Amino acid sequence: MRRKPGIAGLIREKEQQSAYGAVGEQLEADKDQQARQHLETLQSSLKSFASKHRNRINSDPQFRKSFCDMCIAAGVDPLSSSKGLWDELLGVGQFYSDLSVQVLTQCMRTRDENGGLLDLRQCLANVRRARPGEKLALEDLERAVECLAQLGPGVSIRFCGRQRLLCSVPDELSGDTAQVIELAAASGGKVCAADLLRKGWTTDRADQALLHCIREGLCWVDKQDEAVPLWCWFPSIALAELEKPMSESTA
Amino acid sequence: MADGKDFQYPAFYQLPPFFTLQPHASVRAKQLELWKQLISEYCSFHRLFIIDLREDRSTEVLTLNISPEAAGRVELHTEKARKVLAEHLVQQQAALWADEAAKERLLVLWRSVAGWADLILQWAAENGLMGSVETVQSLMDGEAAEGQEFYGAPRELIMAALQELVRRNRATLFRGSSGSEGVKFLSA
Repeated sequence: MRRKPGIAGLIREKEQQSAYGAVGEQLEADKDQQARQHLETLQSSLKSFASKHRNRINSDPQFRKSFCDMCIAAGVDPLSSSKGLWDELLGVGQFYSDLSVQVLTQCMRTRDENGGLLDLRQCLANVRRARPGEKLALEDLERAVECLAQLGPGVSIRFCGRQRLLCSVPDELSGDTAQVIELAAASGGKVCAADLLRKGWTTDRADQALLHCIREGLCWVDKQDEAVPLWCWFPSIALAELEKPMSESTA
Repeated sequence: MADGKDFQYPAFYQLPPFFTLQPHASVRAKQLELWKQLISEYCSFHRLFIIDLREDRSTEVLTLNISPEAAGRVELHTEKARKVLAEHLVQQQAALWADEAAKERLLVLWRSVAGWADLILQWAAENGLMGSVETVQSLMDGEAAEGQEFYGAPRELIMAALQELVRRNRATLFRGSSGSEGVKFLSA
């Protein structure tokens, strides 16, 4: 016989629901606790791993990268240099903190010559010169920049085709400027109006974009090519291309 | 001075834009700074004292390039660029005009005038020349000056250094009866 949803029925339903709710909550809490325990175990493993392999983490870029990936997968921030839980992480956080200061220094130091666009490869070469005997890779710089990002939007990495530039230009780069840089990055660091016209730009637009770069101190001009009245050179990219054979290796 | 190694040009030297005077103020300032350093180091390395700015006599450092990229763009472009660079070097006391009027030749001070003055004075003291008279010529190519850093230096540099010594009351300059210039070193 079909039960009618009388008041009793409703109350019963409600009780059932809250019973389910209670069980449900209990289940959630259990899951939570399990997950937390899981995480704690994982973190503690990471801690002892870091402690045991500290030297290798600090000296081997590939190993360091793998370790950082592991940390992130475990929900742990390898860039954190705060004390407490990560005392045993022994300097990985500090490592990147120090490196980020050096990256910032490089940006500031080269600002006059490149207007705030520093090729990551040139930055790496400079930092390597400042820290001889230490093995550093491009990924290390990228993580260092992430460290900086926590302090503010001052420095970011721009992707220009296959190249990566450290951008510390105060204002946002317009779309046109970004395209000019990208074109330059694909051809050894230099670009001229004709290159832009070939991409379908109007003369006016091309001239304006190049003028903007020059006015902002982002590029150097070359007026001595008989075939081309004005070349715009992005020095950091060009210099990085010159050093290419050395900086490609991360060993 | 050469120790068998070739002169190491700075990285920027291989980029063509290095040879065009930059329009942007701080980029230009950076460019001039780089050129000043290059000229100073180049001249010191090669013991080069004078840079001639006239195009037909261009000095190596302004014209030589080692990069095929920059081939055909071999010199600090335009008279204006050279003039600006020269003024900058003089203003930074990295050079003196060898010819104030014509302003065509630069005396590069890879060592300061005071530094040169010190060297000459020290040599004079060590060789018992205090109180005695020497011809300026003998400082440039005399036997006693052989082996000294200032040996073979142009007359303009020697005179600048001696004038510094005059300012310090460590020398007097005069013209001899035969017309040759002489210097008397004074004890302190």
